[in-house]
Amino acid sequence: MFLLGALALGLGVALVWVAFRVTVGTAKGIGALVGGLFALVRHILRHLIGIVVELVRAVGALIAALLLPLAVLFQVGRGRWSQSRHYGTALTDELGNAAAALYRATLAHPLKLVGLGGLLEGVEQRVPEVMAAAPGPDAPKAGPKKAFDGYVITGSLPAGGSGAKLWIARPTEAKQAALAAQFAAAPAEVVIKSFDLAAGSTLPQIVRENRALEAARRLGLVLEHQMTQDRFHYVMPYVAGADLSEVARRMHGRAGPEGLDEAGLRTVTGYAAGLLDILARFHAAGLWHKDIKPSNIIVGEGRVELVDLGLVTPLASAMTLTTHGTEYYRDPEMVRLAMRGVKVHEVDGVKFDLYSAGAVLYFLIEHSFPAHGSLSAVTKRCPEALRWIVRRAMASLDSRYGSAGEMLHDLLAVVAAKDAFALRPADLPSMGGRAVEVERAVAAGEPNSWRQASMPRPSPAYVHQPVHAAAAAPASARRPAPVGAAGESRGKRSTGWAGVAIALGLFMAMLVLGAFAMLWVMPARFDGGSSRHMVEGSWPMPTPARTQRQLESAQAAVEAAREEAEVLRAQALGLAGSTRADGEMPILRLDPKREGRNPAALDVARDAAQRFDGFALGLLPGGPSPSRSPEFAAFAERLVELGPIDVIGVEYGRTSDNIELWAQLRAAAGLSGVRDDAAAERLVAMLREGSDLDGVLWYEPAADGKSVEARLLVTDRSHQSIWGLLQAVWIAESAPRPAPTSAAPSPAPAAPSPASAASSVPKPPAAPPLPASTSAKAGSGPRR
Amino acid sequence: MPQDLSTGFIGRLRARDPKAWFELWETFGPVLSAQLRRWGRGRIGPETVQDMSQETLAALAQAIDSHDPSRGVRFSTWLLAIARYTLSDEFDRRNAQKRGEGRKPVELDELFAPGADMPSPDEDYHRLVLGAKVDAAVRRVERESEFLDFEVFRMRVLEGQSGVQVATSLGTSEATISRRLARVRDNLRAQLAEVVGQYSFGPDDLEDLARNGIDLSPNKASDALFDEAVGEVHRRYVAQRALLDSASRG
Repeated sequence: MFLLGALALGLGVALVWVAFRVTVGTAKGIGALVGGLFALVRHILRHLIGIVVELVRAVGALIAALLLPLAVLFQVGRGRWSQSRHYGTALTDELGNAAAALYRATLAHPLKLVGLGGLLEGVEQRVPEVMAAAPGPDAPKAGPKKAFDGYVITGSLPAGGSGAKLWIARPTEAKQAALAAQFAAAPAEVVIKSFDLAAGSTLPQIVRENRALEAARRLGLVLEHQMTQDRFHYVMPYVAGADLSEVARRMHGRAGPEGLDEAGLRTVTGYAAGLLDILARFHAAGLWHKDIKPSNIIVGEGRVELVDLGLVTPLASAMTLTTHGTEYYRDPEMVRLAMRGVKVHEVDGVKFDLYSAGAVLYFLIEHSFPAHGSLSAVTKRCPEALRWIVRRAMASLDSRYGSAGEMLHDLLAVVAAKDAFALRPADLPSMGGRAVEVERAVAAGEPNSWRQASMPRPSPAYVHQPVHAAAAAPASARRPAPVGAAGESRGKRSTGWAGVAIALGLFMAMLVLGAFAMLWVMPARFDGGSSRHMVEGSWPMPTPARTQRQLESAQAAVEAAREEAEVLRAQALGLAGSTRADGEMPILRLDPKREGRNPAALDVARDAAQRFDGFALGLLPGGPSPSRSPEFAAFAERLVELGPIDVIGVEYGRTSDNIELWAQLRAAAGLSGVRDDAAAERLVAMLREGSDLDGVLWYEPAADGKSVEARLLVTDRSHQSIWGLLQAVWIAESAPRPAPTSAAPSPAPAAPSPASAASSVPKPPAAPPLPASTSAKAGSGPRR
Repeated sequence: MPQDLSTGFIGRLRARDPKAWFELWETFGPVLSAQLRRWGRGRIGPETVQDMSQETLAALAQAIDSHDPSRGVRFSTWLLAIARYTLSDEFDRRNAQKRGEGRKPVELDELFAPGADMPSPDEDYHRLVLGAKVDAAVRRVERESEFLDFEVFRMRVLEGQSGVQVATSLGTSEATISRRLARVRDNLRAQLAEVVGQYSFGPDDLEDLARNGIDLSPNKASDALFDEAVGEVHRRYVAQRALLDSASRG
């Protein structure tokens, strides 16, 4: 009985449980069905309403467009050209709005309604990208093609934000020979970055460019430079090719939704290794690129090149850290530090470049921005070890790779692995894994699929300096736009137009349901139209010895970078502590016009200028009637030439556009002359209170009417010193002076030259002090 | 407990502490941008959205001085109201430009007045805000953890790999993986408590975590559930944002 009862009870419970599960399951099923139906209805309604709204907007825009021509005609009738132009522009806008609304109403919404939104991706995303990347004008609007002596202009590049024009040019035969004699290899094409005052460039722009020029010089990329009355230009080797964003677009356009195949991943890993190789060289030269992003990386002629030196900053710079850079590729931690007001030399700029390199690698794998920073998930097909490298590069500052060489090592291990998908993070060199085994395998030349990775070729040695240039072209260098008939560049340009033509063809073909075929064909067409710089997968196979050499060279570069960064940092810090306890300031004297007679003073000034890398200097005319002295103009130009100093506030004899700074300076100094110590103290107080300036060069004509007296007021980097580090009296005299005697004290010995600076931590300049108010005579240094 | 509005995070915002504002922007900026793009439905470009997200925070700066927690508005609702205010202000401005005259936009305070036409946030939006809070806590943990510890957490919890897989990948034992994971988990619990307290106005905000299965009290038995819930909330957040991003493009 009991058993039967228990059985019945159990059966009852089981039945109830089954009924409950069936009910819940049914309810869930119905819920999902209803939810799906609602989603479908919402989708349909959204697009139907969208069609109606867009049609109404199109009609509205057309009505507005009908009215505007009347306004244009009316203003033309009144002879008011600027107003008629204004209404004409508005008319164009309205017509554009109407066309866009019609496009959305007749094509975009209907296709999306039936789930064919993918057909429009090419028109809505790729075509605008191609058009935006189209090159600038082919040649100078005015002037001969031989505007630059020794070069024939063949094309142009889109101008960046520097205010310069970028011309592609071919050196003449004579110039080729001259360059070949000077450099290891003369480039066939060059880029000329030109600031032309007559064409709208300004002096402050030229001054700002000084930093990029200095960086390019350090990397040995400047073939030559010239400054005339109204133009400043410099010449660098030209790097032709496609940028990585373009390359990634093509590669992912061909790949399926799962991402790149093994060959594609091999290729992008090679690109990343090439980038890291270049970064190791930048860092070894004491430079931080600060704007690593796909569009600044050019792939061409079998190698990767890094362009756009506009934000390059010395690692040991004493400037305040800024947030400049590009979103998604800029480390958020850098922004956080910049908001705290830290100085560049107080952070490790190398690590910020490495973050960007990781973000670039992420982009290449995913073809999307790392919108989540270090937490961005890699969703496409990718070896675990490669994911690890991306994460390690984008990890928090303490956990990140310590150097470009370390990251390069890991990348090369992936490249060298027999099967990259089998490579574990634990096997990477940075994890103390199979580094030795991998390198041994590379050395032994074992066959493997990844060995065929597209490793970038080393750049040609244009340089004759210790730091060899990895690669670079001037800011914003993108693709060539040649004037000449044939050539590689022409191929690139025609690619852009081919893209537009294909896109338009696609647009029309959609109307006749031919879009699928067109989209399938388009990537191949792009490849066909692509110039021969884009040779993915067919790059030279890295030999074991070559890979080994790369490993060694990367390691050496990293060591050199570390050592140099330490020296430079110590140098900057040593300078910061140079205020003398007795309150006396070191005084420098420099005769800028007669530097040949006073090279020691010039050395000191040059050294100071180099230490003040990225220095923001305000120029302030003193006295009741500010002078526009030509002597001073010459002097200021000389000063700018000495080192990377940003001269802001006031141009040479003219008020600059930075009125606010100018007003601050004027308010502090009043109408006092440079010998007024009270006014000087007010200026220093202004600097110490956190002005945007690092120093003020305060000048006025001297009593003799021929020379200029100037007083340099500088705070130290952390604005902790009472006075500046340096207070100088410069005399610019037009008359030659007698040679100094050997008994005359020289300011040179205590001031290390740039060459000696690398080997020791220098003492601050300790020239014999002179009262600041003394109009010291120039030429007191020994003749050399 | 919700924070003390005079001394806590909101207090720092009121005192115009730039770091607090940056933190707020970093945490909720992407959510606001995505929401604004969704509302804008392609009529406003990404640059404008970026500007407007910043304007939203600027509007927040105005509103924060007069914020009264007794109104019972949730933090997420409050943010949304300000975002909507900024968007309607932008459209009013554009219309005014087109017409050559302006309609006076609604005052910010009116949005919080009783009976005001408050935006009605959907469940997706609340989930997005919760995801942003969890994301912020995870980021803090990442900054404070050893790289290997955090990678173990990422692979196990955020990517959902098994302990064996992670151990093999990192060339270590499962026991080591568990130890590393436990360290990160403890830290994450503490950070979650702090972040949620920081961005909460009332009990409704605080209960969000529990409602989503995230138990902040250390309990060995619930560790696996905690990991699962955190992983799910975070993955959902990442997917939602990706969806909003793509929707705004398409």
